[in-house]
Amino acid sequence: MQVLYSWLREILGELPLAEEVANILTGLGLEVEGLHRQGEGLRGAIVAKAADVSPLTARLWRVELDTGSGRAVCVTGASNVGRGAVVPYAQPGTRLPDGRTLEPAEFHGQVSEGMLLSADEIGIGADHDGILILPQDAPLGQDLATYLGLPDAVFDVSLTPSFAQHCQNMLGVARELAAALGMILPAGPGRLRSGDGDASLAVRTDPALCPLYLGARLVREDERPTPLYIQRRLWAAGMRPVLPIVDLTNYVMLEIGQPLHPFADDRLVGAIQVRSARPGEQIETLDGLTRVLESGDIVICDEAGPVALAGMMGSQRAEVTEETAEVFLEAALFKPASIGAAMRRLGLRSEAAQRFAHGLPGSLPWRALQRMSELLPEVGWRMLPGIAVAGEEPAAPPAINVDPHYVRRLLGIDLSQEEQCDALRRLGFEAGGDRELAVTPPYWRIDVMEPWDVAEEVLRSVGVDRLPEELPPPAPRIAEPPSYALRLEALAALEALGYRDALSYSLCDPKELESLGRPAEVETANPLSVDMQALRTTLLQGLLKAVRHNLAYGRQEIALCEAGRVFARDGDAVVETEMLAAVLAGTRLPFGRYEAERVDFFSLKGDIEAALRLLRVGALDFAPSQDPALHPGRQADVFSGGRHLGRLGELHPSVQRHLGLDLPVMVGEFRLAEINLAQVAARAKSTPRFPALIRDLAVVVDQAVTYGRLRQVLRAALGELLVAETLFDVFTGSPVPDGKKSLALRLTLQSPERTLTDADAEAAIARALQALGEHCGAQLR
Amino acid sequence: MAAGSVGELRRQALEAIDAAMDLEAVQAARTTWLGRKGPIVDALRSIKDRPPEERRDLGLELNRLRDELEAILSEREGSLEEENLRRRLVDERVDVTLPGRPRAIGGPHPLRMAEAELVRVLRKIGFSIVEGPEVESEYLNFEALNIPEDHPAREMQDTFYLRDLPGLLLRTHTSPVQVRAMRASAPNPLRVICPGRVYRRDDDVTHSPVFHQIEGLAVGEGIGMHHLKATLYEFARQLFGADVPLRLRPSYFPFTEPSTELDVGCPFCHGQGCRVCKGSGWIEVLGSGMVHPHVLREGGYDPERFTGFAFGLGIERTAMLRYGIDDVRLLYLGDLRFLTQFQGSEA
Repeated sequence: MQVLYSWLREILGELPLAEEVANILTGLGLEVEGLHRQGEGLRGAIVAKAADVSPLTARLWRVELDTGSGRAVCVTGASNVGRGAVVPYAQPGTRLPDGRTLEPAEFHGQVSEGMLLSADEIGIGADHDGILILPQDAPLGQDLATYLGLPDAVFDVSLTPSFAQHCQNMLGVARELAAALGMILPAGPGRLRSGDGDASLAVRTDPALCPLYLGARLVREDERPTPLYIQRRLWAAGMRPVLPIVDLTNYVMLEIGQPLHPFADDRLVGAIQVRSARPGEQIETLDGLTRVLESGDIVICDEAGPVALAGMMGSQRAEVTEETAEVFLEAALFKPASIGAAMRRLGLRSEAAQRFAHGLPGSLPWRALQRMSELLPEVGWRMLPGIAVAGEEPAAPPAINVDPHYVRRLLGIDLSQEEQCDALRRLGFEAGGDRELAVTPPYWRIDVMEPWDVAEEVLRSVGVDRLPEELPPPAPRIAEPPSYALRLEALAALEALGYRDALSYSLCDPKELESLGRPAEVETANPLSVDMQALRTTLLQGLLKAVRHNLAYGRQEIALCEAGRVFARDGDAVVETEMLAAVLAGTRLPFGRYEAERVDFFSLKGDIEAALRLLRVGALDFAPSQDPALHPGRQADVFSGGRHLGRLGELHPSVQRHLGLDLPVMVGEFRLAEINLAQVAARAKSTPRFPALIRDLAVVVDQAVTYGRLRQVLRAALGELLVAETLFDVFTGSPVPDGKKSLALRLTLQSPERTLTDADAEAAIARALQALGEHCGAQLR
Repeated sequence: MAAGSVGELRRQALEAIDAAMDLEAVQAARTTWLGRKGPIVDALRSIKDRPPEERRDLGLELNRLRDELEAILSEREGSLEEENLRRRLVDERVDVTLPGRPRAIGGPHPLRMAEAELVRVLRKIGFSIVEGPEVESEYLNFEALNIPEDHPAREMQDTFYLRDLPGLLLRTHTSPVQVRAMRASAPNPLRVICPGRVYRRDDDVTHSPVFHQIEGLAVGEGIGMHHLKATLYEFARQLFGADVPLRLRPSYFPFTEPSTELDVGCPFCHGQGCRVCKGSGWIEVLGSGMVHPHVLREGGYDPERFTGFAFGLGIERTAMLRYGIDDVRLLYLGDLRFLTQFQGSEA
């Protein structure tokens, strides 16, 4: 909300400098997010009168000016300057807010000594076609900035919902400021004292939707423009001056917070009724849009149908125009929840709606009419006596009883009962009582209802700086979930192996999940865009996107990892599973003196084995898997102790191409919970006391026999004698027959009980060969 | 052998040793002259054949010669070894400015670094970690936190709902975890922090639809706002330094009352005013307040007896502040040019 310094000063009489006011407001919770000055930089312009106007060309006029102390001649292209008009005159040397400095210029042989200014050029409006016409009584020769009250500081205040109810207006902000400065709170306008209701203004209302509806009749007696200060303030507050009567309603709304709506009286047909919209009912609002309404929306109707979407926007049918000479003015209270819901659904955040949605004090409509009646003469209008009243002013809520100990305990500030009362009184509350505080909020604070609300007011009044600092007493620690620590440990393991943690969005394009063979199971109902529609079912989608991004700028060494949740659907529930994923592509190292290994399936497998060891996972088993997104011959499920930890493999070449990746990518994804369960306790074993024997063994087997199978047979045959086996060669081709391969292993044999002899080793090898021959068809090479 | 021939032996030996120019030759000379089959051992062995009166002197002379030759050979060996080593070290000299054999190093994401830092500080102050689901019930995300259907605060948090899953949404803050933690612990005193991923329908330079928060909650008997202040100040001092200017400002959150925000003196301009702090000299760090009685009740604590405070902050914002990141979207691109900056520079 834009808050004007000059307006606050008008309400309060005097004020500290604008910067200090900004600090005070921020300290009160009315955070000033920006401060600018309307008309800043305007220097040297004065008030002058067009003594004579004559055409220079078809589009230019020569204006002879009376500057109060002399004469000057200006050329203008604006057609709205008539003889006798009082205008803003920028003489040579004048500086404009946009930074320009004026110099004499020549137009068709006529020297123009400076120029006449539009509202836009002065910085107080949008109109740049016409010259700003000043009132006739503006003193000739006076400095223009001084005359217009410029520059005027404008605070951009961010209103939290707690202030939106009572500070969405200048008076509310002024009250907060007054309390902070120890000034007397401004009273604001009283209730309009009016005669009996005018029978011709019959209004019916639904008290559940509109508890109070006041209707006043206004008549035009004289055509006068909106006073400049009002135009200027409307503009600074972000509203466009339109017509005098409309401007005044907006001005009163900005000043005291009550939205008012003027209807062109001659366009209304019969009695006014406030009611809930019928489902599907339509209204063409002032912005030219046809709005389809729902039950619960509030409409203002006459006998011909809806004339306004209550509290939000009027209709074109009853719009006030320049011809309108009689106005039916609405000042009402609408159910905040209805306005709020309609505002959100229709996306119609009008100034009025934003105020109604937060609720208004019950007496505010009466006060707004009073303020209108004071201002109307300034634009030549008058309010007729007799106000139509439908509904009733809501009763003021009862006093709140508060235990002063409660306030002390909650705030931790040692405040006596009297100090608490004083604090509340400074904010306009009535407070008193012997043992309990009886607190009555001022009429403008309908949001204070509970003891904790009162405590908050006490704190605001005494200031948060009064809070002492004291650390809370310790409480027992609770058991933390293993997921947090394990996630970081798992990432750290991969990071130690060269992987970079890359976070990605958990929302993605369902098509991308589909192409990875992991279709979306949960989707958002109101996505921002299709590429953020689905909840991810795999972390690989985001990582592969990152791979593509990095390849696109020419990076060839890619190792990324991520830990995060994936989402599956289980009936009416969503299951979240925490995953750990890694992708590897290109080379390990950048081009350089040292060999840059191109990564393959075994690069990632080795990394995963190492990472899982770092995570203290027990022995691993790898078994071929069948994942359609992966290369059919280069993928495996990873097990430990019978638990399926996850899967790794090379991306299927067609998936790779589909994703726009121009090199093979290795991927792996694992369940953190399974990793957690597969972890083995760290336990010391006694170091071997007897020496080990090393024997190398090469066997020839069918291509189809896996190393895993071979190893399994070997281990079974040798039992605990075999403490390690290392595969050091896999060979195919001559002299190994077609369809066969040779595998060379180094075996480490050791006994915990004695030193092994050569004979022991020979026997072991023989045993191994026999078993390998029997189960794997292996022959010694 | 006569005494004179010992002198001859010595002369020949010294000559041979003198002629040995490298370590191998010296070692060969040692074998020749001092070895088991060498002339000195031979002579010593044959002493027993000499007349008894000569035996003693000859023995002495031969032993002296052996010791002398041993000393000379050792010295020659020593100096030649030293010479060899010296030469080897010159030969083996490398250009130490050539690049090291590179290792690919990985590293954490700046967001995780920031999160870890926040968690470390808060745990030190006595808080324990709890986590909760990212798909949350509408009730726990809103109603339980004192944000009923028509509450204006729902506007502040534009929410993702889920298709065909009425009543569920993507949590808009980590606050529902607070309610879960309270329900699990009531009526015991509680000090928890909830880090996690949250979602809002927002997408621009400073807002990401997916982001991270961390919230803290303390509940117990006699918890007051002075405790909140001390906790936040301690937290901020640990994070930004003991001398950092701090201020609390009244604010509004539906789930706390009174509510405050914590500002720290802008670390970039030290309060002078800059682009980051929008000229104010202060940076908003976190929101906080005394837990609303409605929320306490939802958590299973009797608000007549128990009070509590809560605070929360965005981890993205903290990371952006700490590492000078100006576009939140950079955090989610997986761009290695960006991610590799948060350790020592790449070679």
